[in-house]
Amino acid sequence: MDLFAWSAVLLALVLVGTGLLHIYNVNRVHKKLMMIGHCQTTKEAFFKEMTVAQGSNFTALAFAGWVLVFVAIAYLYFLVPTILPYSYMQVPALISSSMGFSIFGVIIALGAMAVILGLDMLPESCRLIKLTELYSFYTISKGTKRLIGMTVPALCASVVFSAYHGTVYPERSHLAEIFGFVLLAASLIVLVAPVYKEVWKGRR
Amino acid sequence: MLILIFLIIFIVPVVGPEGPNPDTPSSPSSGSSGGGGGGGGGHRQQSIDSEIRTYEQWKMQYPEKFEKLKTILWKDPITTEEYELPTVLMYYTGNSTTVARNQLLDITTIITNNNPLEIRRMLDLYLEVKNPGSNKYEHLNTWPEKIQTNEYNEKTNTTYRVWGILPSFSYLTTTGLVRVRVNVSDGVNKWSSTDYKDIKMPFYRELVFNVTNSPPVISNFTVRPSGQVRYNDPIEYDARISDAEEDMLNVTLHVCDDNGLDLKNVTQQINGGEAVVFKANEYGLFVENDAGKNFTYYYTYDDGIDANRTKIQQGPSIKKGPKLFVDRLSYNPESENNYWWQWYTFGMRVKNLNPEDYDVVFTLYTSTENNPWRVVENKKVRVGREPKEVSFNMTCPFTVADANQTFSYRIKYSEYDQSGKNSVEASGARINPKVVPYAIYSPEIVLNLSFMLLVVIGASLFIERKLKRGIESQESFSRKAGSINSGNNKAGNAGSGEGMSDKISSIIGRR
Repeated sequence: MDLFAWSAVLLALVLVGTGLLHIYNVNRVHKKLMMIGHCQTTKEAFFKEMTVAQGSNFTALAFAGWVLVFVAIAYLYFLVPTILPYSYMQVPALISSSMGFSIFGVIIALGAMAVILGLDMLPESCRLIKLTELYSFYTISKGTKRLIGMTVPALCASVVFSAYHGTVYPERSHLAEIFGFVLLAASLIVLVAPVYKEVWKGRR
Repeated sequence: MLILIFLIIFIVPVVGPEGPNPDTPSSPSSGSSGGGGGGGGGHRQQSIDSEIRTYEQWKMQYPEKFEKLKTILWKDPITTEEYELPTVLMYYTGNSTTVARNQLLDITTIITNNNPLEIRRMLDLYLEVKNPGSNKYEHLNTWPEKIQTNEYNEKTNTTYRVWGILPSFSYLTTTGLVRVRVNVSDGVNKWSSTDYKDIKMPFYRELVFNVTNSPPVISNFTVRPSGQVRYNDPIEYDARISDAEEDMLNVTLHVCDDNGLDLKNVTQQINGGEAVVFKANEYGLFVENDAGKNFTYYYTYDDGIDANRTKIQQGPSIKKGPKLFVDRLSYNPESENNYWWQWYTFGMRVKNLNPEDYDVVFTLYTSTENNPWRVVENKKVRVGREPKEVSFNMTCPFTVADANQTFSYRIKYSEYDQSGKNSVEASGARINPKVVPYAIYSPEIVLNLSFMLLVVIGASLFIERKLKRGIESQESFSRKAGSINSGNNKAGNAGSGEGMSDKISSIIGRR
């Protein structure tokens, strides 16, 4: 496996780890509440008590950021054949189309949105796995919110670098790959930072 | 010592000389002499089996000598005044004695022998046929059909033979009356079934068949292609011919001028019920000088017995045409990069070697491994004696699937050239492997990425407006929290830095 494949594994681990740690965080608080309050409460009630609104603009930006994460991943790893033999370059109808890049990105974005909205339709007891409400379980500082907002342009830049890599295919631009990956990885770290920060605080 | 002498005297005569080896073929004389040695009953049986095998081998290997041996060993049949000649008659149950050549026959001979078994003689039967036009009967069987003395039915004293050697008259090359009878020999007398008189059906002295033939039938004759053709076009004369007897048929195509005068003829031998195709190019039926002439044709055909011919048919009509001279086949790409999305110009020089001007259709094809021989463009050009450039300007013949593949190109024309071909082709260059036709700074890519990013951001805002995840939670939280954290928990102002655990105390406090 080359470095490019390892980078994909790293991103996957961060995403999976985020999901697991978020569930861990919420369950940990629930247990603590049970211990301190000496009372029994349902998960639905607990989730209602726990969640805090983060504001419409921030939530929209965070939603866009998460969708763009998946678009950027698709552009970085599936625009040209890299870790898997399947890629945009094997669909002649798309390549020949003057709107091929756009169609490719929009398809990925719509797919990601469909998954996120599908999770959002789950019952209240599954609230902790709704990506639309990920940040409502955490208290997020203004600075972090600004950083999360900044992930949108960063991810757009990552997409542009990956697109450049696609335009020169079958030549390879390592610089574009590196920039694309760094911006993607940095954005992802910012997006998942509240979860990891809570784990860190909880351990203290 | 006395005992030893006793044994020599009494045991040696009893054992006797050694008999023949049953496994070794021996002559009849050796077999008979060996039997006197007293080798025991079982050993004698083996010798007889060995003799039988030997005779069977001789019969197979030396049939003529075997017949001679039979003559030598022949024992004259018993003759007595009480002996009556057996009755040997033909028997036929068919509806009609008018038969087609290929019609299956069931010809039987019935033999009645009223003599007692002791004086019966073995009969030799020969089936004899007198074919149309012949004045003598001929044996059909080389070896006689034997009627043994003991094979008659005990009650009726009859036996019979079905003559499988004459299943039909398909072997005949002429039609007419065929007479069939049986010739009989009992070793002493010879006679035939025709010697009897006053015989009633279904018994016959001889069978008289009127053998008929079905002549072959030809149909569906056409000349392809229809209309005006060039002399070297793949002209085909098609017909379907059938014969009820499935005989080998001779079909002759006669090519005539427009007055019906025979010019050439070619013959094919085919089995009945098949299509018959004469390809003009294979037989060289037409030459360049035939241009401008109209031809006719007819077929003659026979099955070896009946011959027939068709009416004169029209076709083909050979048109006058140009004789092209082509050269300088070439191509020019838009740039030396040979990208798949660029235009390419293909061309060649052409002139007519004949004096007239003709409209000729030129078709450009390109081929790669992924897209073999695709039509790119058609063009009609009037070609005369003056050389002319035929160009396919600024064509875009390739797709993204052709990237990184070497292409070939071909120009096909509706007439034939100086080599007798109707196309010319050559290899091109390798198409550049680059697949995306736009640079990152090109308006297309800028538009693509801008549109996509706007769609994502716009959709996100729209979804949030619909779901209101950032407002509803806040409102509910604000209601529940009251004044505890009101200063810190307004939308966009929840920046106190407190973690999840800090919420626990506020939740407990509310409770």
